[in-house]
Amino acid sequence: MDLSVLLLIVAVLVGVAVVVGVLSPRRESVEARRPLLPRLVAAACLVGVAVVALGTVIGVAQSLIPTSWVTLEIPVTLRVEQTPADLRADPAGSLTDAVVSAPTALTVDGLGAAARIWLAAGTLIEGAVAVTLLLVVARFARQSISDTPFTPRLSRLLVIAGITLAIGGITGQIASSIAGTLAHEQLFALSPEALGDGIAVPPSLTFDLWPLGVGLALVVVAGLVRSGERLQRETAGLV
Amino acid sequence: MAPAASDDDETGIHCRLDELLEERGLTLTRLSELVGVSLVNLSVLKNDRARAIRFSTLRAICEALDCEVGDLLVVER
Repeated sequence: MDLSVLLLIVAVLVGVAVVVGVLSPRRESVEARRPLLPRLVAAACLVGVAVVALGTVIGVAQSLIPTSWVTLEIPVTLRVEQTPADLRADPAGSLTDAVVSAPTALTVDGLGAAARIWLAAGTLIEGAVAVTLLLVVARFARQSISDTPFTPRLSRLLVIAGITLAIGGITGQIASSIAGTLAHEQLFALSPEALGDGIAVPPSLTFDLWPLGVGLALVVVAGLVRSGERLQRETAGLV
Repeated sequence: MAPAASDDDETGIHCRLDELLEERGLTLTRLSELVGVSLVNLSVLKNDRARAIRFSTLRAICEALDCEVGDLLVVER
């Protein structure tokens, strides 16, 4: 999709969100007294949901169409056997071997079906996780300005979001990593000399653990919401 | 800790705010201005829907209406 069309869609969505989320409620006096920031956050999250969902659908479609170019990150490790002289910082001159590891963004055509499916799965899972989290943040923002901010539904949503992030965040990365590994095998089987003097070392399956930590943190926050709910119940009817 | 009462539970306490306001020729809005308690909360108290009351609210209302706590709150028999 053309970038200008995407920007136009985003601009329209932002406009609609501003009108619906900010301007319209001013007609009601009670709603108008509520803080503006949470409403803005909720509106921005809903816009984000639309943009991420659209991007995910486009990404998945691009990954699955065999004739389309796809860009993916491949964990490439280069073994530099002869370190260039001008890079030598070792005064003794004993440094002769180095390994450089970095994710490399590659745009490839004619990627195998298996790699495309794994790439599409990774894109879909990561998009679904992002949409879930944005929806939860939107709900949180709206709930924070309601008369009863702590509800059992909110704590359940937080638990669901935490589990989704922990599982989806890890599996999404694994799927993308498998796609990268398959692409790596396909690419360097085709042209082993592509890396010049370096030697391409097959990448290992790696993933960040932060989704697990943040997911667990959300489950803990759900526990705090349940405590807030109890306190809220106890103070109901207090004047 | 005692379990929290549900919304439908009767407290068995009647608030005589309506009668006291009438005797003194005051409105709920005026009382709200005098004691710094929201009209919504005073309405809850007046209609016997309050389940708890802060000492500070109680004292402010009693001072504004020049009455005792017992004049404001009575046990329903």
